[in-house]
Amino acid sequence: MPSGAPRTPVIGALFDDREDRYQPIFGPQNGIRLPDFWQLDLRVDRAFELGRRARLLAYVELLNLTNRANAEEFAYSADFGERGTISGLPFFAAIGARLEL
Amino acid sequence: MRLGWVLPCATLFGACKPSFGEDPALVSAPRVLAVKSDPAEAKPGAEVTFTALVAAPPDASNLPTPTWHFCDAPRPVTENNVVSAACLDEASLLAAGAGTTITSALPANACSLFGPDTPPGGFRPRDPDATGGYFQPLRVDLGGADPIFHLARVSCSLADASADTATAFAAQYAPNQNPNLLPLVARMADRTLEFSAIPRGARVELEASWNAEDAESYAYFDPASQTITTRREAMNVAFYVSAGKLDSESSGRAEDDLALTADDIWTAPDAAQSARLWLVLRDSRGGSDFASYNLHIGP
Repeated sequence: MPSGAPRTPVIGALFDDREDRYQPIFGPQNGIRLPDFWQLDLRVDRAFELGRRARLLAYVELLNLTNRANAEEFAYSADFGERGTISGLPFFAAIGARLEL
Repeated sequence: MRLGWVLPCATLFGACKPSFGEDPALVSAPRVLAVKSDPAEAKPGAEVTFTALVAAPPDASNLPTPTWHFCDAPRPVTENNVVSAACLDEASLLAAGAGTTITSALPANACSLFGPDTPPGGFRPRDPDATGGYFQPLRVDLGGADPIFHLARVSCSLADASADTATAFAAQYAPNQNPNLLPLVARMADRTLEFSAIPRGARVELEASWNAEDAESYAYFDPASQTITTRREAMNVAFYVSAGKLDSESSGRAEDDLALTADDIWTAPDAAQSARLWLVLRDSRGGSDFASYNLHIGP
């Protein structure tokens, strides 16, 4: 559960006539942080001996059990008037196995 | 084994980007879409007429008057924006006029503040842009909207070249001229449409065009090889509408593309109404032209 990474905020915008697009006006360097990151994962695995030379490792992984929309990065609208966050993986389950020879 | 779930996760990750409602090509409030300098390139101290393309929806009234200021703050190398952050402060602004069109002399020190001449204050001379040009920032304000910065191309002497090369360059280089937009053509299913009779919900093919001489050839000095070459301007057309939806905000032609048109597709709104469409043609040296059309969608 780390605190969010520091980011430099966009505090305004100007319109660049030549490039036909808005350009951001930045505030203090690293003046804000992404929201805190919080994620609960669960993994269960079990090894099965397959004779003397082989071993099978089976596992079940449950990622982001609480399905929290953790912010990975800020994103801005084309005119920088709106700010949102790009969120990471939602709840995700995976079943797998690894054969070790 | 992990690769098996990395791929579907990557797909999911892409779906987690926020969507913002406003379409940049949709004009829902008064704003300045472009500024045209006439002439498109001038020497410091020369008089230039600047015209702003002020766009507003058809029902807008009491449009604010644009106010203009030259910025005299060079951009420090520690900043990577198009103009210095100081151009946002009153202290670095020189009043140039008010109105949709103004005529003002380019600041006499433009080539030392924004060009290759030795600047005051220990700054290093400026580098030219990719077309070899230097630009004086001009700020336009319209009501309380975000400021607009136009870059007026300034004729300065050639830097980092021998005297012979500079003489040869001066003989070959022609200052930039503004391009000229030809009348817009609208089609639907290979049939030319009248702007006053556009069917509701129609997908309209828009074709903007210009003449061959508008994509000018110009002399370009390559500082790395110390040679003068001839390049051709790239052209770009930006489309804006007050209603409906454009497939693309802009389209254009690269330097090596000889075509003289730029296309877009506009989907008309489903309800009968009046609308406006604006076009801005820009060449890669900073010249521009613009046009607007009244549209009627109906009945």
